[in-house]
Order: sequence, then structure tokens, then C-alpha cells
Amino acid sequence: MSDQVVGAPPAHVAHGVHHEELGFWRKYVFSTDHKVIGIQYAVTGLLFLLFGFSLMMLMRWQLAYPGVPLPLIGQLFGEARMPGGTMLPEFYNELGAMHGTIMVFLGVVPLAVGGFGNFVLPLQIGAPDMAFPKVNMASYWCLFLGGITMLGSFLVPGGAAQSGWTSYTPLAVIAGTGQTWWLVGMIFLITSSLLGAINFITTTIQLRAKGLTFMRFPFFVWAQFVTAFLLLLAFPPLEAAGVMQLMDRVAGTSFFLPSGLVVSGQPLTNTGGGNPLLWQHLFWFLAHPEVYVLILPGMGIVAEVIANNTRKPLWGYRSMVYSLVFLGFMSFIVWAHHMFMTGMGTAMAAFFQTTTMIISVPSVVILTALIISLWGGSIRYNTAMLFAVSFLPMFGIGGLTGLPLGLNISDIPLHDTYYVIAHFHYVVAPGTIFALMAGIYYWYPKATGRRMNETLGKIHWFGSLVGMNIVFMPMFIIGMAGVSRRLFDAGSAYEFAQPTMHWNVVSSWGAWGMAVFQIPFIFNFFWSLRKGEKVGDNPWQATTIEWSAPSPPPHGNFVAAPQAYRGPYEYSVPGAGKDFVAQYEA
Amino acid sequence: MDIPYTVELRRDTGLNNGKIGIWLFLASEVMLFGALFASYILIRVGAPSWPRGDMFLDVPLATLNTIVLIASSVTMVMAWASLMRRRFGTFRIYMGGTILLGLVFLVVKYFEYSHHIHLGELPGTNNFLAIYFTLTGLHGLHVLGGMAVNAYFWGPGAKLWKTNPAWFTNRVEHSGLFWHFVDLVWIFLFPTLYLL
Amino acid sequence: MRATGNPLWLAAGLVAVLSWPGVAVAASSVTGTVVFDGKAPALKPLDMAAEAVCHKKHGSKPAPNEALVLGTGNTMGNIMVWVSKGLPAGKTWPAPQTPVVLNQDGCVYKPHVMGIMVGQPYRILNSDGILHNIHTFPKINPSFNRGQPATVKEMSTTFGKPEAIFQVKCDVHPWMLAYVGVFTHPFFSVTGTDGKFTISGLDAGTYEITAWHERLGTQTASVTVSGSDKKNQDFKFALPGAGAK
Repeated sequence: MSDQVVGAPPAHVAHGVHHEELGFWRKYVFSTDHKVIGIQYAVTGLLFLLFGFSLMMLMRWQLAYPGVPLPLIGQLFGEARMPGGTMLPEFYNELGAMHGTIMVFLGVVPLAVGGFGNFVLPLQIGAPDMAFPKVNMASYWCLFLGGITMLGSFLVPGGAAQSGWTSYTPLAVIAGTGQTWWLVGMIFLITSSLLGAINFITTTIQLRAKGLTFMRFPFFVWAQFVTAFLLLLAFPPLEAAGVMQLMDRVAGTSFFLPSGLVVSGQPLTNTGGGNPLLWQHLFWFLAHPEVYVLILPGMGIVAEVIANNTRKPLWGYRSMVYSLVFLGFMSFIVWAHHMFMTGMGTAMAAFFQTTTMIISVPSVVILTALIISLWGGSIRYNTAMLFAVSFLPMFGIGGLTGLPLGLNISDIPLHDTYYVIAHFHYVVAPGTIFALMAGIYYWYPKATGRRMNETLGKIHWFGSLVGMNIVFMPMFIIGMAGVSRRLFDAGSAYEFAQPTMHWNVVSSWGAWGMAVFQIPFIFNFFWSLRKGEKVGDNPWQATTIEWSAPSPPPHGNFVAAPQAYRGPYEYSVPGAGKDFVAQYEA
Repeated sequence: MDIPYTVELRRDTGLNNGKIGIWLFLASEVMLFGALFASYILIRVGAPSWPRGDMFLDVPLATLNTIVLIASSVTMVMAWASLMRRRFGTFRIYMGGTILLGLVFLVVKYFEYSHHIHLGELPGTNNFLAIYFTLTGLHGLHVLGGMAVNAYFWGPGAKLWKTNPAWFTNRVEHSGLFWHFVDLVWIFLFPTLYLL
Repeated sequence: MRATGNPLWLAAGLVAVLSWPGVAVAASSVTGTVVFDGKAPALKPLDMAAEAVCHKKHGSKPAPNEALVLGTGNTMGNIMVWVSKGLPAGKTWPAPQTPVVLNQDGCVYKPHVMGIMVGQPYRILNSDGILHNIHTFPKINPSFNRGQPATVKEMSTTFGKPEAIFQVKCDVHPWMLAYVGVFTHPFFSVTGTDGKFTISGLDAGTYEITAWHERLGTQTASVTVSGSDKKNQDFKFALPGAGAK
């Protein structure tokens, strides 16, 4: 019906030819260009990763040496947080809750989805920009406001949120002012993700280059596409839950407060009748897909880097794509495996442990396909590839150690211990973050026209790989000894935790050592901006469309609209003149 | 540089960007209100007793509001249809009507709210009122948002009609989709809260 | 800081008092004894089996329940007595810089009942070397709720507004209880086991004196003093329904 009108040729095409030069603010700050926004996202994400990492290093001091005053900087945190340099439990809880929140919602997601998604996805599908550039800008600034709110919450009386990144009720409802700020910050972050997700999906469907069918998508595009659906559909329930918790805290409602709740011997005046488990259901309905939001872009990046550096096509591309879509779908029906301990009943537990076992199949398919892709390749071990290859065993460890947590019976003793921490950090830290590092080294030449220094890169990779394992491997041991993850003193008050206390020292020194090895990366990142080796448009001899654009790509990305002629990974095609046939070459 | 398919349809998908975008947005809205309705069911099922809606709420006023919102949906369609017939003047009248009806809805809602507050029936009074205020409050914000967008198209945004009428028509259609969704949410809210 | 601050405050106080017209030194005082009337109920001692460190600290003699502390002749300890009415409006008294100390020793708050002035430092000591969590339950002042790990020996806070007596609890050891009253003036006193209290430094005038016990409520009495009187005002508490007035 609407075809009659909208089918008419657009009258404004002629306007597009001239480019007026934009001022500094419009060009670099309030920009609508997906590349600038992508870099804004990436830099914001990296800064928050560093900040979240610093919070964790403070916690690691307390865990390794509980009650010992922190030398040198301990006095800086004030009497209310660290009197005489000794960490108070409330401050530890602040650090714990904010480390989780910042790493997940302000570090990894902005970098993986906002940064790489924004910068790479339109380039890879040959689009001039995102479908809704202004919405894209709004998305970044929502994230920015959310980040400021989260940081600001450290300054309110009583400090930032202390109820863990999961903000379980009723604890979170009766917590201090910081929790209200956390909720407001989360609403900003959720809005940001929603706007981003709409943009990614629309861009992928609509702005694909001519000839770029879905089965010719680079795996990274598929990963972002599925991720965007997860963000779009999983975040709103948390937004609803956040609004309800906000009502509980501000308007005195009792959505999550049961009847007869007594806090420190004082009965609460709320009417009660609410359901604390409702929060957990709504939270995990988001947060399980969120786990895949964290890992899928990482898988996408690793797939790109591995295909490029093995100089051969991905093994089982189609099965990987189908697995990815299946994974995305299944991630919506596994959430209650986080809640086996809530007493929701064996029938429910049986259902959710079954779906959990099913969802591990597509993950294993993807991981296996990536490992087999290495077989027989003439592998280039550059920094990006080293990170990508390390991702495989690290994610493998993370994934396999998750199986005991997904089964009702074995989850009971392991629930909420350090084992859980070790498991998901193996997935997210040496998993996703390694993938993100691979992506930074891989696409840095596209964003800047220069390559990062390889020697510094390899030092960074080696230190990170060793560091990560020293940090997280001991946590499996601590966790299997039964030490709870939320203890501010690592369990030093308990007899049963004594035999594992020294592992905390190992883990902490691993973390601080790893911090030292991030210095070469930070230096390299800035140094290479000016002094890095200059490279051409396609320094890695890659096949996908983003490498046909100039480095760095101008406003509008491509000199001429690109076209896709074949699949994404035509490496080492028999009979071809060179070892790769680019997707965009006729 | 121009983004393709803002106005014209992409051949293989048969859609323009805005249409996909607004439907995706509505999908996320469904999840938002879906979660709230699910919470409502869970809390109600777990409650030892639950008041009938008309014990607290004014059913005739809400019926009036339902009629007002449905009427506004009709005027919204008429506004878009006028643009399709290239009658900008009638568009202004119908769009103005839509905005006014939205305003009537909010004013009625305001009287309902102030009546509750006057009686001391606050969100913290009981869980029925808690879910009532949360759902209708969030819905009210959506009405307000829809009115803001419609007002923009009625006022400053209408400049686009001069330069690119097809694009303007599309935008009005998309804002109409949102408006119908908001209307639909109310049609679920009304029986759930007032009648059941 | 504190060493130089004290004399300064004293000097300032002295100047203020001396410049007060007509009165060189406010010298009246009210003393008295609080006794318990009737047969004292036997309270169970505190059960600290849950906290090995404290359990051991008390040895074979478990810590008594301090809800009712009686001396010889049934004199009552832990009674807060203060001037509740009659102080000249608009007059202010500087808060002393010497802190009021709350010591956590053997999982018992020492003292059990204490008064403090607005702005006076409140020092919280942890003599046990285990985790405590100090949680105050005021209605007007902001609540203080902070963990005190084994190695943190000392924390401090102040109260910004006057407030009727409220509870202090330990969130780790539910038997630990103390009571704090925050005053704008220094005319308050807590009885020892001998039941004696002294409120001194009052100007001439008629005052209402209130005595408070954590379970048995409050009693008031009116006292008129002039010059350098030493008035006596005794209080008597009894179990409700025990026949005493």
C-alpha cells in the first residue's frame, strides 16, 4: 500500500554529494559517524575495563592479606572505607558489586558490541554507516550517562551499591543510597543497549552490500547479529525489574519484599507480600543471555582472526552459523540454572538442567570448528593470532567447568563458591577479553592506518596468558574447598578455609603481575597512533569487505559502493594467483 | 553521504529501515511490558487475597479513557492516510486531534492519580496499588513520549513534508505504529487492572 | 591537635561562663540513688557458644544479661538520668573533645548505656580481634552501620542532632546491645552499680529530671535549685504490675 509513495525515487539524492567540513565537536564528540562512535565506545570500554580491573586489584589485596593495612595508597580511601589502610567489609562489598557491574555492563559490552560492532560491522557488510546514525549517537551518550552515574555513586553517602552485581532482593532493597544510583545507571545502560541493538539488526538486514547474502556474512557479522537480538529481547525484563526495585526503594512498594521481613531485629514497615525470587527470575532472564552477549562477539572476532591467519576457510562455517542461532535461541530458556539453590523444585530444576546441557552442544560445535580450522593451516603467529589461539583453550576450560554448575546435583556444593568465579572468569576474562585484544590488534590498522608494535604485543600476550591462569586456576581449588565467593576476608575467620588461604596470595600476585603486563599494551596503543608502522588498506591480506575501504576509512567508508561476489573466507583457493580471493573482488 | 533505504524499499527485504527499526523497538517494548505483566501474575498468584480492581479504581473513568485512546488511534490512522492522499491540511487536523486526545487521556489519568493520593492510596499501600501505579505510570510515560513525537511531526518536523514528502509519510506511519502499540498496552491494562 | 585543642576549649568555656551576667560559677547539682523495688527477676546469662573467642574469654563465668544490673540493696545500674526540661532556651554548651568510648570486649558492649553530646566524638573500640558490626538505630540521626574487622581496632563517628535514647546492636552477635542518648547539654548521668548519679553545674532554676531504664520506661521528677544547692532526688523502678507506684 505504501509502495506507491515510498517507491518513488528519493528527491534528496543530489544533496548527498557535497560534504561540509564539520567542527571539532560534531566530528569527534557528538559525532554520528559509526567509526567515531565505535572508537568512543571502545575507548570508554577500555577505560572502564582498566577501572574495574583496579577495583579488583584492591579486592585482591584484602583477599590475600585480610586485615593487613594496604601500604602506600591505603590511606587515600578515607576513614569510612579504609581506616588506617585496612579495608572495611562495606568497602569490599562496594568494590565487589561495582567490579562486576562495571566489567560486564561498562567494560566488555561497550567494547565488544559498542566498539567492535559499531566500527567493524558496517564496514564488513559494505554499508556507508549505521541505519540510524543519530540513534547510534544517542546510544553512546546513554552509555556515557550510565557510566557517570555508576562512577558518581561512589561519592554518595554510604558509597556505591554493595549488593553484588546481581543486586539480589531483598538485600538490595534495604541497602544504602548507592543502590538507587545503580538502578538509575542500569536504566541508562539498558536504554543504550536497546538503541544499539535496534541499529545493529536494521543495519545488518538493510544495508548489506549488493550480493552479500546471509550465508556470505563473515562470522563476526553473524555473531553481532545474534547478540543484538539477545540484547533487544533480554534487556527489557531487567529494565522492568529495575523499575520495580526502584519503586520498592523510592515509593515504598513491596514487589520484592516478603511479608514479615525483619532487618537487624527491626520489622520493616512495608506491606510485604512481594516475591524476592521474582527479581532473580527477571535478572537471570537478562543475565543468562547477557553471558552470550559477552562471549558471542568474542567468538566472532576469533573466527575472523583465525580464518585470516591460518590462510584457510573456517571449517564448518554453516554449522557454526546454525549453532550460533540455536545458541541465541536457547539462551532464553536456561536462566534458572543460576537458581538451583532457591528451592524452586525438582521438576523446574530438571527442565533447566536439560536445556543447559543442550545449550552446551552448539558452544562445543563452534569451539570444535574453530580448533579444526587450525588443522593444516599455514599459521601466522602474530599478536592477534596468539590471542585468538589462546582464547580457544581458555574458553574451553571456562565452558567445561561450567557443566558441573549446570547440573542440579553438582551445583549444590559448588554454588556461590570461588569455583563459580573461576568458571565464569575463564569464559569472560581470558576468554572474551583475549578475543577483544585479538580484535584490537587485528583491526587497529583499519582504524588508524598503522600497525601496533608486534614485540610489545607479544610481551603483552605472554604476560596476560600466564597472569590470567595464575589468577583464576587457584580459584577452582579454593572453590572446591567450599569457600564462599562473597566473603570480605576470603574466609579467614573460618577453620575450613585455612588450608586454601595461601592460594589467595598466589592469585593476587598473579593479578598484580598481569597488571604490569598491561603497561606495554597501553603504551603500544598510544605510541602506535603516531609511530606505528604505516600499512596499506589490507595489511593482513584479508578477504572480508572492511579491508577494501581506505585505512582509516573516510566519512561514508567506501570510495565506491562495494559488492560481495563470494563467501567470506576464500583463502588458499586452488588455482588462484594469490593465497586469498577477497570477497569484494569481481 | 546518505543512508540508503531510509525512504525507498530494499528490494529483497521489501522494507525500509525505519519500519524494521520501529518493529524491533516494539518487540523490546513487548518484552518490557510482558515482564511487568508476568510479575503482576506472579505476585497476584502468591497473594492470600487480592482486591477487585473496582474496589480502588474508577471503572467509568477508565472506560472513558479507553474510548479516548481508541479514538486517538483512529485519528492517527486518518492523519497518515491524509498524507498518503497528499492532503497536508487534513493531516494537521487529525494529528492535532491525536495529540489532544492523548492530552485528554493524561488529564483524566491525572485526576485519577490525585484522587488516589488524596485518599492516601499510595504505591506503598498494597501490592495491587503498587503494580497499578507502576504499570499505568510507565504506560503514561509512553503516552507522553508518543505525544512528544507526534507534536514534533505536527510542528517543526512537518518541514520535511516540503522537501521529502515520502520520508515524512513514513515517519508518521512509524510514529503511528508506536501510538497503536501504546493504545494496545492500555487495552491489556484496562481489563487486567480495572476489571479482573 | 587534641592536645592543643583541649585547653583552648576550656579557656573558651571559662570565658563564656564568667561573662554570664550575675552568675560567676553555676554550682548547683542534683544527686540521687536509683533502686529497684520488689523481688528482682533472675535473668539468664548471655549464651555466646556461637562465638568461640568470646565464649573462651568469659571462661566459666558467662557474661550476665545487662538488662537489669543490681548492686547491694537493689541499687540499679545502667539508668540514664538527665535534665529533660527547664534549661534556658537559646543557651548552648560546647561539646567536649574527649570522646565517649564504646568498647567491644568479650562480645559485650562496654558501657551498656551512655550519653553523648551533639558533635562529641564517639570512639568505637574492638578489643576482641574478631569481626563486629556496629549498627545504630536512631530515628533522627543517620544510622551508622559498619563492619569492624578483626584488625580494625578503632573507628569513630559523631552524632549531629539531639535524640532520645536509641539502640546500638551488633549484626554479627545478636546478644550485643547498648543504648545511646544524644544531648545538646552536658546535664546527664548514667548510674553505676551503686545506683548513684550526679548532675552538676546547673544554674538556679526549676528543672524536670528524667530517669530511664531500657525495659522499665521513664520516670520524671521536678527539682528546684538555687545558688550552690546540692539537691537529692531518688528514683524507684519496679516491675509493671508488681504493686509498686
